[in-house]
Amino acid sequence: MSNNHSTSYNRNIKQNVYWVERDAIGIALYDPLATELNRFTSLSVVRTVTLYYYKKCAHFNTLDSTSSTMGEDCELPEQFHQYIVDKAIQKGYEYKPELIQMAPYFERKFEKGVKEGKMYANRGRISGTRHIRQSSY
Amino acid sequence: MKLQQMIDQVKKHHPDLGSNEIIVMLNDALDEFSARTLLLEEATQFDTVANQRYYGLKESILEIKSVDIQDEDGNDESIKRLIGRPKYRDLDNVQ
Repeated sequence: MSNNHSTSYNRNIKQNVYWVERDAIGIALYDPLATELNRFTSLSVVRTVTLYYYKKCAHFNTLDSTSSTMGEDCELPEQFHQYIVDKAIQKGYEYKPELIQMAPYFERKFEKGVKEGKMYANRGRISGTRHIRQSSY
Repeated sequence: MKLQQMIDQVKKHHPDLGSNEIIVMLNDALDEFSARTLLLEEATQFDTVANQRYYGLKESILEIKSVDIQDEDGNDESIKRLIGRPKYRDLDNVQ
């Protein structure tokens, strides 16, 4: 019986595979029994592909953009907004040599936010048993 | 927190900075935060083109978690990631 989490696979069957190179995803049909030249063939029929991925947070529009509005919301969960502000404050102090000693304080606050963010991401909004991803906090 | 509130908070410390400068700083912070925490996940779909092997990825994608492909019956099947790349490239139809 097969299921979605089966880890066994047959080395003799054709299967679709993907890989990533040069900012593009490659998709091909892999035939382990074919000659090396013909082992991978591009898909000859149209198929719908779904990508699941981690993404960057959407940027705020700058004021010269036509879609700029001060009412824009940050895409991150609310509890992390303050850390984003802390990072901007840190950068501001780094541009001022006379106040640069203030920067590490806000940097530490941001680093605390990163740590909490990783924990939040690992938790996956579930309680109890959960997937643990190796990470350096 | 709205953008205006974020800008106001930064301006309390840096009244000399313009709003645009602050927005650029906030955007840099968003990039760093999302890249280091991998907090935001998303899924997107596209249709393949016959005999085309490579498809460009959106700039916002940090890491691909998994890929599904629809079979003849319309079921989405997870496909395996290849370690490395094929020895022979097929660059037909690359955009």
